[in-house]
Amino acid sequence: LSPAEARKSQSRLTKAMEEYFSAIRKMEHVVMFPSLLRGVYMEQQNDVATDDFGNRDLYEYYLQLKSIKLAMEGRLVPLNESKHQIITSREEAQENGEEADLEQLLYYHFTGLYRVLSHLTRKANALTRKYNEIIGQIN
Amino acid sequence: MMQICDSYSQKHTLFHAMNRFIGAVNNMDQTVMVPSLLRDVPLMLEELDAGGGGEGDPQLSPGDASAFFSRRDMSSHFLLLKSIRNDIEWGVLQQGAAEEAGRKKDKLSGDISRGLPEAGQEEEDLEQQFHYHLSGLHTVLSKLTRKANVLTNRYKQEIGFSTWGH
Repeated sequence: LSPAEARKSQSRLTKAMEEYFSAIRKMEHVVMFPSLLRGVYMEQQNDVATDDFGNRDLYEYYLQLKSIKLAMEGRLVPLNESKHQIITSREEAQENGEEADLEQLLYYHFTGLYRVLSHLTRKANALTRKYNEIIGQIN
Repeated sequence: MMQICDSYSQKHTLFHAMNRFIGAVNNMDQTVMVPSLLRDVPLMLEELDAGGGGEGDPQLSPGDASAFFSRRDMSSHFLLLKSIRNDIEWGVLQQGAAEEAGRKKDKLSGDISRGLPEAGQEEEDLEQQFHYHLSGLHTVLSKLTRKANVLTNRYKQEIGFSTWGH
C-alpha cells in the first residue's frame, strides 16, 4: 500500500477516534479560560446538537470531555473514581437522561472492545502455536 | 497489510490492543503456510491459558470442563480471525457487518458440531460482540465529537459577548 492508500484505508474507528481527539485539542486550544464556562448553560434548541447537553454548566462538560480523552489514552487510571465523571448515582443518571447514557456507553463499548480484542489476540497466538506443533510432529 | 501507526499505539490503549491483535493475526497468517492442515483439528480452549501472553487476560474458567472444546475446528478459527482483522483494517462497521457476521458464523459452524453447545456459544458471540462494540463506540465517539465542537463554539460566543460588553 502506498502511504496515500494506507491513509484512505484507515479504519473508520481510528478515524472517529482521531476526530474526537482533534476536536478536544481544538477545544483546549480555544478555551483559554475554562472558568468562564462556569454558570454558562446550553440553551436547548431544536437542533440535535444541544440534545447532548443536560442540566450542568459547560465547565463540567468541558472537564468531562477532557477526562474521556485521557481515559481513552489510558492516562486516567481508576475510571470509576474519576472526580470528573459526571455519573455519580443512579438518580443523577435518570435526571440527566441521554447525556448520562453517552458517557456510560462510551466506557461500556471501550472496555468491551478491549476485552474482545485481547481474547481474540490470545486465540490467534494459540492457533499459531498449535500449527507449529502440528508441523513439528509431521517433520 | 497496514498496521495502525506506532505513535498512536503508544499513546492510546485501544490502539495498542488493536495493533497487538492485527500483529498476532498477521503472524498467524504468515506462519500457516498450509491452512488445510488445520482442518478437523479441534482448538481446545485450555490451550489459550497456556501462555497466550501478557496483560489483560480475559476470564476463562479453566475448571469448567465443557469449555475445553470448541465447536469449530482450527480452520474455521483461522478464517474468522482473518476476517475480523480485515474488518478492523477496512472499517466494516454498520448493520450490514453484523448481518454478515451472522451469515459467516452459520456457514462456518454448519458442518461442524461438537455436541457441546455452551462453549461454542460463548466464542461465536465473540465476533458479534466485536461488531457490536465497534459500531457502538463509533456512534458514541461521533456524538462526543459533536458535543466538543458545540461547546467550543459556545465558548467563542461567550468571549465575544464579554469583549463587546466592556
